[in-house]
Amino acid sequence: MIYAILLIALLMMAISAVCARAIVLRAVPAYRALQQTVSAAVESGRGVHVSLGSSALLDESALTAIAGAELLYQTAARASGGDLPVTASTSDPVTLGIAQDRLRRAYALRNRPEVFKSTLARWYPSGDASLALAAGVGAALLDEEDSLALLCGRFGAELALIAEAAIRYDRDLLPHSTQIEGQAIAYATSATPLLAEELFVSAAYLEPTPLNIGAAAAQDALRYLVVFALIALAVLAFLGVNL
Amino acid sequence: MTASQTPRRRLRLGAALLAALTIGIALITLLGLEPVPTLPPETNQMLNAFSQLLIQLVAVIGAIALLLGVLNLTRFHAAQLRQMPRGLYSLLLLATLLGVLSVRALERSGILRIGNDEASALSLTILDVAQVAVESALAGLIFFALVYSAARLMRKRVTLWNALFLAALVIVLLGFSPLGGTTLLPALREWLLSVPVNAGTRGLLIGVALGTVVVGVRVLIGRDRTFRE
Repeated sequence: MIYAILLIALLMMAISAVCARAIVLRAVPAYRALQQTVSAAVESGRGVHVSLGSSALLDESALTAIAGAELLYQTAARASGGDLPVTASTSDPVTLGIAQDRLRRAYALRNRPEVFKSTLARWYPSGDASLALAAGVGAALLDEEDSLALLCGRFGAELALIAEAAIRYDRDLLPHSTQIEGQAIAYATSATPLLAEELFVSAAYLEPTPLNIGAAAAQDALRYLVVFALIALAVLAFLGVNL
Repeated sequence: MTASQTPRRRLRLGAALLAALTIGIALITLLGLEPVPTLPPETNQMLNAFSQLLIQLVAVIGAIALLLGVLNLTRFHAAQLRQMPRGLYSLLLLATLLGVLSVRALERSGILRIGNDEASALSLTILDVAQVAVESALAGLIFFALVYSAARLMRKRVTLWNALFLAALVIVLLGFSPLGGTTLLPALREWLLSVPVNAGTRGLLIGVALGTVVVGVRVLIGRDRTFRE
């Protein structure tokens, strides 16, 4: 089954990548807001903080961590020309390595490798609801004059604390979570949250190469396939067809 | 220059080798975890054993990474000590870290012992008292934080979806309270939780699952950024 899904996804991605020029991606307000707020942060000489939450490379959220790291890179690539450095945080020590790597690459892309320091990406101990991460990100937003808090990855209830700190000190907030609790808080605390699977298509909106557009289109197509299958199954069940 | 204007770079031998290695290992792990029925049983067993070995190696790497995480935390907060009074929090954190590490070291060496089992260890009691209790309290407050945030969002901009969100929150919250023995609100709450909330939750999780499939394919074909530049 998994091989069939992977094969379908690969085929759709390849076909969509070939037809990328003809594909118009649906609007995602969060990515438009991200570009505007990052530009505003750079112009006003303030920093940007990207938190990957508790997304971990060693468990089932590994691909969420990779997608979050891609968004960190895209954000850092835009903000790394600013006066204040881009900072990142995570509560998974293995993900810390990938966060440092993406920051280093972003600064290298802007020919400013000397600005990168390994402590720009920080690890905070995890827990069921990582209060340490929430406290650390909240403090970083205040202490380091960050104007934007981009939260992308696995967050639970602790997202409420970070959002509260961001709103109280008038920081822009772009939250996202793959957890239901975190996603609910994200929706309630921001006018432009990233919703569920939108995290995984950041490259298509921020670096629209044919392959990235193809991946986003494949994801949308797969979603429509699932919706169609669900409706078809519901209709069949309603008609009394036993599968 | 934006990320979309990244200049085309030459393919480096190291990156190509890394991509080839990663793709190979990823495929072997996948075949080991999800055996293909058409392959001979011996091959499936061998692939499974190899993938289990890889997973065990990864667990060891995780343990080493935890040490690196602690070092990162220590370095960052040691640097923060220069910026008083802001560094007071960092001082507190470092003192706590040192204290808990010392307690754990004394316990492991047998010098400090409370009770006979691991569950009564002082370091675990400290964790239970300081962290678990506060995290539980936070979980209890989520609902009120949500209502407050939704109301604040409505103050800025009233939309149909925001109004719906707030109304659902209030109904569920009131549905849990024993208001004059009425059965309407609890019934409404039950329906909300079991039908629209359940459907929405599944929808979000399916979306996340599809996203991970697409990112997984990108990693499997070596198009992740780690291998590209």
